[in-house]
Amino acid sequence: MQETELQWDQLCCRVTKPARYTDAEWNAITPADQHPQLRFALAYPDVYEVGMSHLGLRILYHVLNSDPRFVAERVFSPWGDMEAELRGTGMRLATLESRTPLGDCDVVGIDLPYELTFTNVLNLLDLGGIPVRAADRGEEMPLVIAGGPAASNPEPLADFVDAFFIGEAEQGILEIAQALAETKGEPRARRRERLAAIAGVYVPALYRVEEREGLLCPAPTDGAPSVVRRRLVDLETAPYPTCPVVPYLETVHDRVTLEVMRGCTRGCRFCQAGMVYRPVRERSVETLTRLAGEALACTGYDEISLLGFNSADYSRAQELIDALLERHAGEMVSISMPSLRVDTFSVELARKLQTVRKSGLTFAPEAGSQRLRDVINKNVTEEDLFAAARAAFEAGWFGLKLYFMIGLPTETDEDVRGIVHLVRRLEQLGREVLGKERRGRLRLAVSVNPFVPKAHTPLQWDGQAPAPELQRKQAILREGLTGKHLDLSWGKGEQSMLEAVFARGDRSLGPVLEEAWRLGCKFDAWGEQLRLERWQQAFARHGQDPQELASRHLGVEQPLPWDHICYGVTKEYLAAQARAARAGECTPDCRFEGCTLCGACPPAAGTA
Amino acid sequence: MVCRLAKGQPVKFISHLDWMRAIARALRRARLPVAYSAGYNPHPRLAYGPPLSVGNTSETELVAATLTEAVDPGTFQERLAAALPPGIRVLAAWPAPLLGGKVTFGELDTVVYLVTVWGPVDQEALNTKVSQIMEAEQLPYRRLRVGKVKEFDARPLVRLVQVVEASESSAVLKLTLRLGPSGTLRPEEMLDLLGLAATCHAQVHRTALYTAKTPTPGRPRPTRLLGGARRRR
Repeated sequence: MQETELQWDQLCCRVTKPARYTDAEWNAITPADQHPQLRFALAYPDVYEVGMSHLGLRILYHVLNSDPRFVAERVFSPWGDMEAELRGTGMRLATLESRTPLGDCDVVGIDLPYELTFTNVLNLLDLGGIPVRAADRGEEMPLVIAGGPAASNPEPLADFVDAFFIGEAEQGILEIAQALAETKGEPRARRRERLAAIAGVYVPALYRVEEREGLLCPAPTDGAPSVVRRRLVDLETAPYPTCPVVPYLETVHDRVTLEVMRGCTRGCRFCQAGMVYRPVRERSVETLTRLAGEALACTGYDEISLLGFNSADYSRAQELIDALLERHAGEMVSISMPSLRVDTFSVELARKLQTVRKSGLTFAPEAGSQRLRDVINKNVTEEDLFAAARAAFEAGWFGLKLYFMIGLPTETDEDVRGIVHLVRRLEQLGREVLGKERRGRLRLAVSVNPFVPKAHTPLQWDGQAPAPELQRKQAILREGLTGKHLDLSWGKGEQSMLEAVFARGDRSLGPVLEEAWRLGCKFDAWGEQLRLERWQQAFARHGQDPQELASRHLGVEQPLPWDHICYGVTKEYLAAQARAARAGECTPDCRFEGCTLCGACPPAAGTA
Repeated sequence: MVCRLAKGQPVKFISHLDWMRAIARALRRARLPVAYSAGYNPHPRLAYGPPLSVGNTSETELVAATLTEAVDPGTFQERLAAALPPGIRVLAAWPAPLLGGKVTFGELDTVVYLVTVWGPVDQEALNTKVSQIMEAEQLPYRRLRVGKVKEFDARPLVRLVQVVEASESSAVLKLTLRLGPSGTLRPEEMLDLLGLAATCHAQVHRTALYTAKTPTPGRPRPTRLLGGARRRR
C-alpha cells in the first residue's frame, strides 16, 4: 500500500463510518490517467451519504469524466471525528479516488444545495489546505468555483469563491474546464477574466460593492457584464448518468433517480425553484424508458424515482408509468414519485406505482385557509385535498404526510387555526373511509416549517415572521393537533432564521460567516450541530442582528444585492406577482392557460 | 447456489449491511435469477454467512441465493464476477441443497483468522502467552460495549492459537475461534488477551468458516460445508 493510502487507512480505523472516506464503489472511476489536463475536485459540503444522493453531483461527475482530457473526483465534508484526525495529523482533506489533497487539485467545484452549508464550505476549503478567502490564494492554489441552488444569491459567499456558475452546468462545466486547462500557468486574475467571459459565470472580484439603501449591491468594473444570465440546457439531449457511482453506504436515495422534467410553472409565490428553473422542459417517454433500462442494468438498483417538481404534471405521465411498469415490474423494480400534486389523478398514478412496493404519500397544502393559499398562489382547494385523501385511503394507504408553512405574509391566527381544522377533518375522513377495523392504523404526519423568503421570488421583499410570532403560532398548532393519529414535527426556528438571513443577504455577511466558522460552527443543517450562541456572537461582533436581517421588509423599488443575477424571470414580473399576492389573486399555470409573460422563455434567437 | 467471496482491502471498511446490499445489487446486475419473497415488501431471498467486522478482510464470505431456475455454477460465477465492484471477488460457487426450503448457515461453528500485527514484538513473551492460553482452563475477559460491561469466560470460544511467524517488528497469528449461539470472541479481543494492543497496526483476515465435529477445543476436523467441496487441511 502506498504511503498516503496507508495513512488514510489508519485514519479510517479510528472513525465512525469509515466507508465515508473510501472509494472503490461500483462505477467509481479509477484515475488511470494520472496526468489529465485538469484534475477537478467535485465537492459537496455535507457528509458522503448526503452528497451521494445528489443528482447534480452525479451529472457533473459523469460529464467531466466522459471527457478524456479531464478527471473529476469526489470530496465530501468529513464528520467531526475525521476532521479531528486530519487536523491532529496535519493531513489535508483529499479526494476519494486518488487521495489528492484539495490544495493540489487544479480546480475545486463546490455544490451549494442550501444556505446552511456555508460554514461547511469554508471548513472544506480550510481542511483541503486552501485559504478560505479568495483574495488570499496564491498562484499555485486551485480556482474555487461554486454553483447550485444557493448560488442564486451568491453575495454572502462572494469573498470566498473565485467564480460562481449560475444555472444548469451540464455544458458550462466543460467550458469552464476547458478555459482553465488552456490558461494553466497564467496569472490568477487573467484566468478569472477568462472565466467571466463564459456565459453564466459570475466572478465577484470583477465587481465592487456599493451601499445602496442599506444593502451592498455589486456594480461591475470595466468589461464585466452588468447582468449574469443563467444557463439553460435542452433536457431531452442533456447528459444523464446511466452508470452513476453506487455507494456502499446507505444514502437518502438508494435508487435510480430519473429526471423526468425540469422546471415548474405552477407559480407558487414562495418557491424559488419554481422561479429559477423555468421554463418547463420534459424528456420524452422514449428517452426516459431507455435511460431507465440502462440505469437499472448498470446499477442493480430495484427502485426508480421520477424526479421533477410535479411528476404528475409530466404531460405523458400515464404513458410513461405504463411503459416503465410493463418493462420492469416483473423484475421486482418499484417506481416512486417523490412529489405529488394534490388531486385524484396523482393518487391514481401513485396507486399504480405501488403494485410492487408501497411507500408513503405526501401532500403539500402549505396553508390552512383558501385565502392564504390564494396569497401564495398554491392553487389547491379543500375539495381537491379531500378528494385526493379519500382516494388515497380507499386505495389502501393508512398514512399521509402533510406539509405546511407558518409565518407566511398576511397570515393571521385564523389562518393558522385553519391548519388545525383541515387536519382534523382529514383525520375524520380517514377514520370514516378506513372503517372500524383499520382506522387504528391511521397516521397523519404533519410537518410545519417557518416561511423563509428567498431571492428571485415574488415574496422576496417580505421579511420572515419574527421568532416570538412563530412560537405563538406553533403553540396554536400544538394545542390543536393532538391525538393518537397525528404526528407533529417542526423545522427548527433558529435554522430557519439563519437560512432567511443568508437567502437575502449581501457581502456584509462574509466576515460574519468567517467568524462563525472560526468559532466552530459547521453542519448547521444538522439540527443538533447548530451552535446558535456562536452565530449570535459572530453577528454581534460585526454589529449585525440576525433576527432583524431575517425579518426586514424590503422596498419593491430598492436595488437588491442579487439584481445582477438573472434567471429569465423579470423583476417586474415578480413585483406584479407580489401585488397579486396582496390582492389574493391567483395566477394559473402558463402550460395550461396562457402565457403570464414572466420572461423565462428564451427569445427565439437562441440566447439563454 | 452458495458462493464464497473475498472482501479485499478497498472495501474492508464497509459494514455487513452495506455488504449485503452490495451483493444483492451485484446479483441483479449479473441478471441471475434470484427468487423474491412474497408480501408487501418483496426482497431477494438471500442468506448471508456470519458478519465480518468493519476493517477486516476475508476470503470466505458466504452468500446463499435461492434461484428460480437452475444455473450452472461456472456460469453463475462468471456472471457474478463481471458485476462485482473492485475489492470483491467470487472465489467459488456451488449448488446447495435446500433444507426445508431455506439455506442457512446456522451449522457453522468455527472461524479462522490470520492476523498480521506490526509493531515491537517480544517473541518469547508472545509464545509464552499463547501456551498459557491454550493450557488454561478458564480465560476471564471483560468486554465493554456501548457503556455496558460484560464479564465472561473466553476459553471455550478459543479452539486454537498459533504463531505462524514472528520477528522483532511484526507477527502473524492464526486464530481458530468458535462461532455460535454460546457467543463469539472477536479477533481484536483475542489480540487483547494476547497482550498485543489491538490498534490499526493489525490487519485481521478471515480465512475459513466451517462446521467442526469435535465439541472440545483442539484441532477441529472440518466437514462438508453445506454439501459443497470438501475443504482440505
